Amino acid sequence: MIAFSHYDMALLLHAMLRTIVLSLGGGCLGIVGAVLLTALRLSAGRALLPLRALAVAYVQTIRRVPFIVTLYILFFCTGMAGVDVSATGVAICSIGLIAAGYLCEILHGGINTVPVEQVEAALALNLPTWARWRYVIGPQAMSAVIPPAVGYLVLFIKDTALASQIGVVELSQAGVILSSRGLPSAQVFCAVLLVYFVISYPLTCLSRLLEKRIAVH
Amino acid sequence: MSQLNFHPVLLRLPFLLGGVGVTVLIATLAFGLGLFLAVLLVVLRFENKGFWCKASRSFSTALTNTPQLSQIFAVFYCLPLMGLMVSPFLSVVIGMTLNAAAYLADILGAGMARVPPVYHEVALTLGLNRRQTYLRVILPHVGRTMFPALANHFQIMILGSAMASIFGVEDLTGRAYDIGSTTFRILEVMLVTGGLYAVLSFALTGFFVLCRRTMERMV
Amino acid sequence: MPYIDVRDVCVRHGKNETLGEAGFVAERGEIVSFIGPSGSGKTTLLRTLIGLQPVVRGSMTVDGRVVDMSAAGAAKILRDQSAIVFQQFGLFGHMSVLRNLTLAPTVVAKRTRTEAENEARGLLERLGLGDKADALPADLSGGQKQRVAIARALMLRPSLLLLDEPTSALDPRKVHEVSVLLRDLARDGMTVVQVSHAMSVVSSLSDRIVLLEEGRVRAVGKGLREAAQEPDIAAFMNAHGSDPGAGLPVGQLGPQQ
Repeated sequence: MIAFSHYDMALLLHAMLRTIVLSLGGGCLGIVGAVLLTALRLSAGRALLPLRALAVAYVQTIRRVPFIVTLYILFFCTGMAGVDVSATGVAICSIGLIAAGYLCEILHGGINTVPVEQVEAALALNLPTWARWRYVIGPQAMSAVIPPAVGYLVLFIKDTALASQIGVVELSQAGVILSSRGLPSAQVFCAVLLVYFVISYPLTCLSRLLEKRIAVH
Repeated sequence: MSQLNFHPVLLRLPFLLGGVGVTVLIATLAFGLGLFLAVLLVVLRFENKGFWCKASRSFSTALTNTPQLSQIFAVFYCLPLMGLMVSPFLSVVIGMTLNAAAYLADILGAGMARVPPVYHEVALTLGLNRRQTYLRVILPHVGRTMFPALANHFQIMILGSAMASIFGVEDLTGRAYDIGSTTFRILEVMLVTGGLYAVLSFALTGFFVLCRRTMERMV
Repeated sequence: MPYIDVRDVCVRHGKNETLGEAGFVAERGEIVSFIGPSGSGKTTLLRTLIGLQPVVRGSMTVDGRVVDMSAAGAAKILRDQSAIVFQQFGLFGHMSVLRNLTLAPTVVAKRTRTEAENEARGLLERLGLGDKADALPADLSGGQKQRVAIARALMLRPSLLLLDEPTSALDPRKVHEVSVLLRDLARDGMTVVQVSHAMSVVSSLSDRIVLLEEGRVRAVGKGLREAAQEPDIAAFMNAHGSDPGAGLPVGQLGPQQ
């Protein structure tokens, strides 16, 4: 029924791996960036005020620019600067930059849900800063952070499709290539959609489960 | 590294700004049509416990777990096979409408689940029929409680509409790409474009805040 | 020389002065009660004693050791000797009762987990919570939560125990139990400072009553029984629902349970 050759399947598989690499790489980069940005936003002291303002401005702006525009900017920026980065590298960086903005907002919001009295109780017990975060603030913020963060990352897997625009052969680009090889478009696009679904659906279920399990308390 | 030169871009700024209108048009069309479909989908879910309920849920599950870009590609490549010749603009609007309907149905569904059960009973005792109950009581209530989520999705659609450029539509990103390829100042034009999207998005945020205040005053 | 001597505490909230030159003294093993109308600065003064409130100036002497409360490292020193029981208890909801008790001893005082757990279990047993060690705070009643909060504070082996409204969430019988506990602790040499609105508890328990008004100390009454006889204090307590003379020392109340 399906007219895919063994080469076509290999391309599709390769593209699927590329999509996963983009998502994982961008997600990890985003988590690191979000933690740094949140640390900046929560920092105290007048000396760090400009950095704090910068972090807030970054988070507010990056979430208001389409992914594809960020992708182009970074792609042509590295091109102009003469930095030799692969298209995949550029795509991972863009995903990381944007994910950092969104995840920072989620993280910051989650930390703000921890009641002040919990922090004061930790202070009164003389817990040092690391212990306050490790034992009191961290675990309680996580219940408000993990479900939306997973939900966001699931959304983002689908946005990696746009990386095709700077020449990364990921799933949706593979579909276009296969289609232009003369394979029946309907079948090709169904196959591509199916592969995305197979990656995304279990994660959607996971995020719903997390929401029910954790967010109740 | 070569110097940034914004001059050629600024010369073509009016053309670029026109793209903002196209972007807003695409997002608004898809959002409006998507909302209409979503209302139908969500009413099916609550009024029918059998096949149609499952079908409506499956529609949302399928479309929220696949990329909008691939969906638009599917529309773009598959509609001609069915003998329908549609413009790229229309393909994009159709693809985005279907995608929006899936997400918006989930949002409205969450809102419906939060409507106090007594509303249905009150509507019954007042003698309203099903259609009137939905149009006059339930949906306005859902619209109000879910306004932030709906507004947020509109913002997502504004950003998502940038995909239209891939199909050759002259929206903000599409025009930016045009200018980039004629002036060879693609980085500069993309920086300006990113700024325009941010300004547009901030303006929409302000607009939605105003809407909300007006709505609260009307209550 | 008094065991505890707090002097000249000033706290500002924006432009308003919430505490101005407030202070009090206490001997070792005394129970001190802060009373006063709401907004008079009772809780604020209590919070300054454990470094939760930034102060403009103020000093605190404990056992001959002077702490400048406005200095940068003051909070840590204050917290080394004090422990607090919050009005809302501030128990960590994601940890078992036992872990709530052992967290600070293992993390801050670097005691071994086994040792801390043994002490915690003993303490819980003593407070009638022996079977609640593995429960989560959410599964406890108000009175149980409060005893856990007290136990957590005692695990720090403080020389000064602070309590914000310790009896507000309790029924009369539990109020009595807590009063007995505080009296026992004081007898063992712990200084106790409480903020309270329950005048019967204040008059029966206090060795010293500090009346605050608009951020200043209006009057101080000294000595069990006599504390409540100070005119200003008696007037305030009368107006707030208690016959100041009626309070009996806790030991003279009827048999327990």
